[in-house]
Amino acid sequence: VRSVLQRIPDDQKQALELSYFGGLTQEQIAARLEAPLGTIKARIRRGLLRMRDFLKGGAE
Amino acid sequence: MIDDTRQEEAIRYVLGEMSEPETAAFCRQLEQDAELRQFVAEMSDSAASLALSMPAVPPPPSVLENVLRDVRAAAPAPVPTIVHRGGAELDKIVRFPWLPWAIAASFAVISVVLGVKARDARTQLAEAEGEIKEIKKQNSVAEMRIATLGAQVKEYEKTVAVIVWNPETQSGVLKLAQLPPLEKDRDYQLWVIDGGAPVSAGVITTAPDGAPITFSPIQRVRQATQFAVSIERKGGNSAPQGQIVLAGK
Repeated sequence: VRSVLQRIPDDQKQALELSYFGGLTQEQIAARLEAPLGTIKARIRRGLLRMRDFLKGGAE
Repeated sequence: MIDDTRQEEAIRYVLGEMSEPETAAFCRQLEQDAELRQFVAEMSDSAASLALSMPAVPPPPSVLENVLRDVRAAAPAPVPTIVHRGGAELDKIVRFPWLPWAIAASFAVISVVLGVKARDARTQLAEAEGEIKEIKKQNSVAEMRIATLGAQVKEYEKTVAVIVWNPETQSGVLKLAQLPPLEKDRDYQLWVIDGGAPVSAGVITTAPDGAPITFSPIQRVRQATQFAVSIERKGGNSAPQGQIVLAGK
């Protein structure tokens, strides 16, 4: 799992970590990173989808 | 096929960001939509797997003993239910009531075995990250910045470097392992990148595999966007002139 996290783009990883470990909402993350809420939502979604693909054995 | 908007809604549910009315409405959708249920389950697993990315902290040997004692002492377990974060009852385990205990005991055994064996530089990193985890529990993570520095040259691929930066106190902690030794006329120097400008955080003089090193940049850092370690002349430079060997955000 750690190796997969390393392959996730930094912006997605950062959003995931702030959400999961930092306990911030997506709105709070958007404010903190000074990025649009839609961008943060997309980063988290793509990051989780990538994790899912790995768990399914579909990651490269 | 679940479109992007529905996926984001499902992720809000998984992350526990929905209000109670939103959760209730979403649970009704879940009951009627098998594909959505499947997606939510997958996202829950993905989010949960993030926890596995944290390094294992070796448990004390007494953990296994305590778990097994509790298992032996436990009365026949009632039929457990799986309740999702939003409160929806998704499923019931009825065929193998002993299964959760068996899994818990297995994890305890595996944890103890791995904990005994893990005694290398990675363990030091695990300890440092364990401290980070504790800090997070104290709700101070919002103020902290945590960065793992990656090798910029092949010779440093085995080096482990983690930084915890506190912008409020303008200080940080650097944890290093397996940092190659330098020639006598060279020093490693730490840099905090403020926007695009490197600010010296001092020469790394402590033994590389020793205790965490505390540091403070020579001037106030407005926003630490990156951290780097370079090889400089003995005593360091006011700006990086040597090779950057480690860097990370």
